[in-house]
Amino acid sequence: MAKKAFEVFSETMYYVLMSFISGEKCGIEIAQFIEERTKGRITIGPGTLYTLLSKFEEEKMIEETEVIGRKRIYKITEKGRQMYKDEWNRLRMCVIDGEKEANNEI
Amino acid sequence: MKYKLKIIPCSMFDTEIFENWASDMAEKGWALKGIWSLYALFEKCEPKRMKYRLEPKEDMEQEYPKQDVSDMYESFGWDFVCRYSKYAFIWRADEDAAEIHTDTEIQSEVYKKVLKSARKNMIFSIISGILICALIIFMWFGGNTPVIDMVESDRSIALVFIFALYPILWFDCIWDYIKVKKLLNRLQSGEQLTHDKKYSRFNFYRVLIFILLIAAMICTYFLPFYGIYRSGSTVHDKLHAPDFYVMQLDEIEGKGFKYNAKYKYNGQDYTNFSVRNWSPLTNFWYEIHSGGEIFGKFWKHNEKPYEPQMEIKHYDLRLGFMADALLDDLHKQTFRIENLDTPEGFNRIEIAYDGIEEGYILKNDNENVTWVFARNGNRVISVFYRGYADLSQHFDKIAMMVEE
Repeated sequence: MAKKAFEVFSETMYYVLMSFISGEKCGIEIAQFIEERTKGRITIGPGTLYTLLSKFEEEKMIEETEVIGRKRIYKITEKGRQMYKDEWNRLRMCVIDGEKEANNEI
Repeated sequence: MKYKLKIIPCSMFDTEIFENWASDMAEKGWALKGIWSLYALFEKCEPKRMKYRLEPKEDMEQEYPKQDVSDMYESFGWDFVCRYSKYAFIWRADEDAAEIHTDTEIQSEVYKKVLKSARKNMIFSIISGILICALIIFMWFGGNTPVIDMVESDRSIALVFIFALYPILWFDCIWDYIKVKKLLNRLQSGEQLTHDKKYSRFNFYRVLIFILLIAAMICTYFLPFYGIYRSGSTVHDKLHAPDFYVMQLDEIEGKGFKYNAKYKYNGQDYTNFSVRNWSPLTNFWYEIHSGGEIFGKFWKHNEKPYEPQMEIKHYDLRLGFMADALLDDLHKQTFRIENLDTPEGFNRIEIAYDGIEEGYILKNDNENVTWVFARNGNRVISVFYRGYADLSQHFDKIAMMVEE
């Protein structure tokens, strides 16, 4: 089930992984990061985030570093970083391809 | 603190309806506190529209959400309210809080589990329902005389309710399953749940289930007591029933007959007595026993004192169409047979008489035993008589006994 979910790398997943690039984060910090970065275009709720983080953790893409009070802090692993980069490259190719096509149109 | 109990206007799988209803209640100043079966408990609060969300549980046995889940949810402004049956938790947040689920694909995975539970629930309740119904049918109709068992018992109404309730519950489970399936389909096609689906304040269907449940409970637990209250046993020196005419032994035996108490225990007469019974399917039914003797007269076969006796069963049915079946059952019960054959040694005499719809006499001259079975309208009787009198001379009295 989990594997199937990663065949399609959703926008939300991409942004959650992106939030870890700049360092360790807890749940609410991830949500704030995404909202700031996308200027409110994408919001993430606790249910979605919890499910995603558990999956990422299960796939060893992130790992828990410490628990401060009721906060759980995670950091990205090498595997997670690689997957993020792959996805980033894929998206970049998409954009480049799109731009080429847009130039053709003009 | 002011509290309020309300019937939930939807099934537990109507996520969107329930959420809208709980939010509306908060707007009216009632905060959800807990769920109990078909009811929701509210506590008075500041009127303010809140978001309520049902979140399917990961595990049916869970009482509370896992600590890391509630930590995460609380940091986003979502507070745990209560558990909703085996399937979900209820969370509450301010109107402007972010939704719990912002990704339909991930949410749909959560609902896949709910679908599994709903399917399990559906299969389980249908199978258990069928088993229970089969058991009841076997208990009632497995016997040789189901109509007598039903007429004389005080549980027949409860039975009707149980049979009415099960199809409704089956329908409910199947309907719930379809609801979850539809919800899941919407999520999988990327559609967000709406959280504001309309509900009707008075859900006829749910109220009906509720009333049926209560009625079944009352019938099962209180009707036996009512039956005791309506029944009674009396001792008389004659065949006696205040509700209808009873053929008297002295009328058919003729001169010299005297009622006497042959069986006495602690001064109580166990020869001459009548018992009035009540059951849901009858206005009343009687068992009347009587006996006596003719002084100086003896049985021909053994020269013992001649002591004729009579036992009458009389039913006043509420449902006339049961009379025929009851009469047949009385016949079967009397002779412990499974058909309506005339037992060996008996002669059958049909009763054709005004005021008797169906009736016959079975007479065994060797043993001086006569049985009378008769019905007319809602009245059914069986008469046992041991003695030398010929009951076929007394059609008029039999007709009077079944007179409505």
